[in-house]
Amino acid sequence: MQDEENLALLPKHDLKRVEDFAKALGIPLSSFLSNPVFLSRNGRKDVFDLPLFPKFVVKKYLYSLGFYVGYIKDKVFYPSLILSKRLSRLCFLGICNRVDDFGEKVFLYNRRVFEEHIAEFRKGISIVVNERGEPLGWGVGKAIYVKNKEIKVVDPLKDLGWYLRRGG
Amino acid sequence: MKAFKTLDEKVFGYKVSEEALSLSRRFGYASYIVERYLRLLGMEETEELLKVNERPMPKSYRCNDFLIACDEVEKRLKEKEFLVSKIPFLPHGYEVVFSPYSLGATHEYMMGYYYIQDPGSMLVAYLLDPRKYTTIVDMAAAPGGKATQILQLTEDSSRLIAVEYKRKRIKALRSNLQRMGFSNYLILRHDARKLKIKEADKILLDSPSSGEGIIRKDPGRKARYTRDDLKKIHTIQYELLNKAFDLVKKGGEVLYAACSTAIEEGEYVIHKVLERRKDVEVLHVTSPIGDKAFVEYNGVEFNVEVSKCIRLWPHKHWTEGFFICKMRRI
Repeated sequence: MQDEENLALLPKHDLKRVEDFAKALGIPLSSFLSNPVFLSRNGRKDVFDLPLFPKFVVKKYLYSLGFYVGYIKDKVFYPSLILSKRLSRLCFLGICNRVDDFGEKVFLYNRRVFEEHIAEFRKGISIVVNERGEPLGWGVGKAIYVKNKEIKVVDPLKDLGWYLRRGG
Repeated sequence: MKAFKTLDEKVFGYKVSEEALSLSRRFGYASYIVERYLRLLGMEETEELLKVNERPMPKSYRCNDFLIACDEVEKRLKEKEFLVSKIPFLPHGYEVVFSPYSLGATHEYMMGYYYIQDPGSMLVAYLLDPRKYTTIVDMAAAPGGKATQILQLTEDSSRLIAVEYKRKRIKALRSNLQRMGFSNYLILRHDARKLKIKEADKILLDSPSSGEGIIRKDPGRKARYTRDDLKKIHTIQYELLNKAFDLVKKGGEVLYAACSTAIEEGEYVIHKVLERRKDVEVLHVTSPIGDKAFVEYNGVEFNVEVSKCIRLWPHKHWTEGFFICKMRRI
C-alpha cells in the first residue's frame, strides 16, 4: 500500500538546488526555509519546512506536513504555489511581475501575458501578482522579439488555476 | 456482544409497512429508509421531509478570514454579480442566492479566500471548538472542509493531524489545505482505526456515512445502500468512534458527526460506545440550531446520555441532515 518513505532531513546536494532557486529569485534561502525535510514519492522529493517539529514524531504513513516548499525532480527544484503566496509579501524587493485585471485572467488560464498588461516587469523567474498585490503563481519574465521589436512577456510556470485544472 | 446482536436485530430488522412502500415508490427511496422516517417522525412530518429533500440544496461558502476579511469576499463576489447573504448562525457562513457561474471558478476561490461548504458541515467544526496550540486529530479528513476550518479558527496555530485512507481523496485534502494558506498540519494516509497516536487534545470524527443527510445534493443516496450496507457502515462508525477514545487524552474531547438522518449511524453508534466503555461522558452542546437526539427506537431504549446529542433536519433547519455528538474521555 505504501509508496511513501520516512521523513528525513533534506541532504546538502538537494538543499543546494533550493538555494540556487532562491538565488535566481534574488532572496536568501533563510527567508523561507529553516528546517528542510523531505518525503520521497513517485520518483520525486517533496520538500517541506518544519520550523517546529511535531509533538508526535509519526514515522510512517506521512503524506504531507508543515509548509510545502516544492519538489525536486531530475535535479531541478520546482517551487510550490503556497510558497509564492508566502513570498509575495517580499514584492518590494523586486521579485514580482505585476499584471493588470486582463493579465490576471490570462495568467490564471495558464497563458502568456503581454507587455500592455504588465504593470511591473522583472526578468527571469518571479512571483506574479495582480494589481492588488495578490499572488497568482510563478512565472518567467522575458523579452521576445516580434518583427525586430522587443516585447516584454510573462509566461506562466504554475498558476493558481492549476488547483481547478487538476480537479480540486 | 450477544446483547448487541439482539439490539442489532431490533434496530436493523424492522418490517416495512404498506404506507412506507407507497411513499418510497412515490419519492424513489429504499423502503427501509422511509419506514424508519415514519417510525421516528410520523406520516405528516415524513412527507414534509421527503418533499424538502426534492429541492436542491443552495450553495454556501465559508469565507477564510485567515487570508482576507469576510466583507471583502462578499464585496468581490457581489461585483461579479453573485448574490450572497449571510447565514445568521454561522460566523463565516454565506448562502449563495444567485450565481452567474460556478462558485468554484472564481479567482477568489483559487486564492483560497473561501471554501464551498454546507451549513451543517460548518456547524460541526464550530461545535468542536478548536483551541490554539492544541493537538487535534481529524480522523476522516478529506476533502478538507473541516480540517481547513479547524486551522482557520485557530489561526493556523493548532497542530492538526489529518487522516485519510483513500488516495484520490487525499490529494484534494492536501490541495485544499495549501490553497487556503495553512501549514500547521500533518497528513497521514492510513486507516484511522489502526492509528497509534496518543494524547490528542481533541478528535473530530466526521464519520464516513450513507450520506442520507445529503439527499438534496445527491439524490442517488435515496436508494444507494441496502440494509446490509448500512450495517457495515454502522460497524465502521462504531470501530472508528471506539478508536477515537483510544487516541484522545483523559479529559480530551471527541466530536462525532455523521451527515445522515439514520438512527443506525447516530444514536445507536453512541449508545453502543457508552455501553462498552466506562470512560466516556456525553457533553451538552450549545448549538444555535438542532433537535435533541432520540432516546428510544423500535423498542430499544438508548443510554439516557444520548439525549444530549443533536440532530439537524433538512425540513426543520434547512441544512443537510446531520447527527452531532460531543463527548469527553474521563
